[in-house]
Amino acid sequence: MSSNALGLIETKGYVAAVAAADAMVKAANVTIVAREEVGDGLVTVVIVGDVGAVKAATDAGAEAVNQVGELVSQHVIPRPHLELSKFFKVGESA
Amino acid sequence: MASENEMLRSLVRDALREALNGANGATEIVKALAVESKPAQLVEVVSLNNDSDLKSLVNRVLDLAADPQTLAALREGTIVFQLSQQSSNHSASDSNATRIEKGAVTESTIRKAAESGSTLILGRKVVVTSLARDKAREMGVAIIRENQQENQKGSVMR
Repeated sequence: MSSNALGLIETKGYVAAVAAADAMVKAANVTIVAREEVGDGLVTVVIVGDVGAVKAATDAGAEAVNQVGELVSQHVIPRPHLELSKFFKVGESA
Repeated sequence: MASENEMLRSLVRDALREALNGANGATEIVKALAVESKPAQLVEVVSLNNDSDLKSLVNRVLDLAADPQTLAALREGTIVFQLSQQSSNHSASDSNATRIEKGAVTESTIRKAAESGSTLILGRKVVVTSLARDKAREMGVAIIRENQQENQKGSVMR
């Protein structure tokens, strides 16, 4: 699977993160590569996939979080640099 | 699509303005000619708050134009349109803006806003998804962020 984009959704609360992750993988052809918890209830779900798929997935994820909990932020990085995966646990993007 | 709507809107606005200016002139003429018992001026009050109002106005004008007699009356300014005062005051600022205080703005939000032709005003904590931003640009929906200079959470929102 070509994965040339990175999608991140950060929520406040674990349940919201689970809801987001579920909505994302159901909405488009993407793979979950990481779950980051930085404390204070902030959970980030990281997905990879094609740019269009990742955009659609994060949109669906945001919609789902809207119903369940609190969306802190979301971001899509098309073609993330290889350097990124050295220091962030965001999965390889090659 | 959006630009087409915008064009149509400005066209009608211009036409209305002319009609209204013409109306003022026409009233004076009507007053001046009152002694000669000219037919009274017919004023139709219209309110333009959304696209459907606009559509109904256009349909009304088309109906009037279909009959050569009313068309002539329309040209001469015997039939004039007048914007209803309260609607014209509010349409620009209030009813065309949707305010979102919290949560996320997704593609579906933008689509709804585009359908109603409204502008989005977002509070500080509102997150706009990437897809929604693309869609907004594509459909010409304006997104205005409030309190942009407050930097405590500003970076989080981007």
